[in-house]
Amino acid sequence: MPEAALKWRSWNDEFVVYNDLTGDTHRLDAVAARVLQELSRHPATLDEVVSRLSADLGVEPDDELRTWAATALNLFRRLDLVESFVARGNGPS
Amino acid sequence: MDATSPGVGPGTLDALAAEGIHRRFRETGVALVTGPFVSEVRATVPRFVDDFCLLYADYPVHEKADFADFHVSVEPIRGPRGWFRSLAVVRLDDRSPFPPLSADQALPMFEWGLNWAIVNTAYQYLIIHAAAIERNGRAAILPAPPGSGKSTLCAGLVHRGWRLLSDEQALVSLDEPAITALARPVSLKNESIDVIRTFAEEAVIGCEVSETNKGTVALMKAPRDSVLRKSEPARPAWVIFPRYAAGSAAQLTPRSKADTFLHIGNNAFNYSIHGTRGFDALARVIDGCDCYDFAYGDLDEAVEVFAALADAS
Repeated sequence: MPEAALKWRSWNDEFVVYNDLTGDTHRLDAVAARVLQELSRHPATLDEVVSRLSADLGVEPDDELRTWAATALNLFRRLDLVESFVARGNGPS
Repeated sequence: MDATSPGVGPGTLDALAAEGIHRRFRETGVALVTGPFVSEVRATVPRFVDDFCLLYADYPVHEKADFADFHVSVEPIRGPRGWFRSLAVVRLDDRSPFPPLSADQALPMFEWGLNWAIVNTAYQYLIIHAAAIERNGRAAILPAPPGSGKSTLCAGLVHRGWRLLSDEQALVSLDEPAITALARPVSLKNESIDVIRTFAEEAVIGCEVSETNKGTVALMKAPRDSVLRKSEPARPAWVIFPRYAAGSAAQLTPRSKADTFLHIGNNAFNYSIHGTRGFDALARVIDGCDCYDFAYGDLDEAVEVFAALADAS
């Protein structure tokens, strides 16, 4: 989702985000908001999201973090806050 | 329309009422000013006119309205449907948003109809489903579902030093954090009618109407001071979700601003229509407000808590 399509406000580490493309408003906690803000600026794979989170939060990139990130990305996708792309490599022509 | 524009000199309905008011309602109609709106009201149901004149006595009326935001008529139903009991219908610009109801429900039906008209046309506001009251220039927004004690609390507070802005629709400016006053009658239901009669003997309450889809309903006249100050907007300072619970001590509990934002947005009448402007307008409200849940079981205690809130800081 382009960064410009999202409007943000926060109070006490709780965020609301308005998606101008769907007209929906959502509430997010600080970590989820940070992930979505990053994704709206720079598309990323699940591995990259986990890696960034691990560095930002100072925690191990373990299964628990990976599960949390995968759940968050699925939720963002369901709410039309992010789009999925299949990476195109140099496959056989 | 700006109802206070130069060159327009409204008197009050009370002053007009001495001059053959039933004929006036029947033949030319009355251009009533409620907050920022002018409604041309025509009626041929005598009981409606009498109740209307009681509850809207203090409101400005225009001698001649060149323009009205809403054209409302209250008419009896003739023909087969009206044979067995007296029925009436409320029309807004020749549309009938509600089916005909018993004629004694005409005034509540008028109120519901005017609410409907405002929601469907007043796009210059973000309209929150909430009561709103003001004291010392600061407004409290009271959103709550039916049965929560919102209107009872609102009716009590406006007889204890608070100004009525609205009982049902908080009109929020899209450009600044301000609530525009409507100051229309407060709809009391069931037990709350006697609660307010006891709590505020000075309250003027119209006829009780039973067997509505909300039970027994009676409209309480807005205090005169609130009607006279219709042109004074108020800055939102609190969002308070009231909940009546018998025996409960009056208590404010802070609540999440983000959660409050979502709750109000989901229950606003036209938040989704405004897009980013609606988001910004609601965010400005939340920026400037302390947000609370409020449980109460006694109206006197509730008044004390609200007075302390208004007098603090």
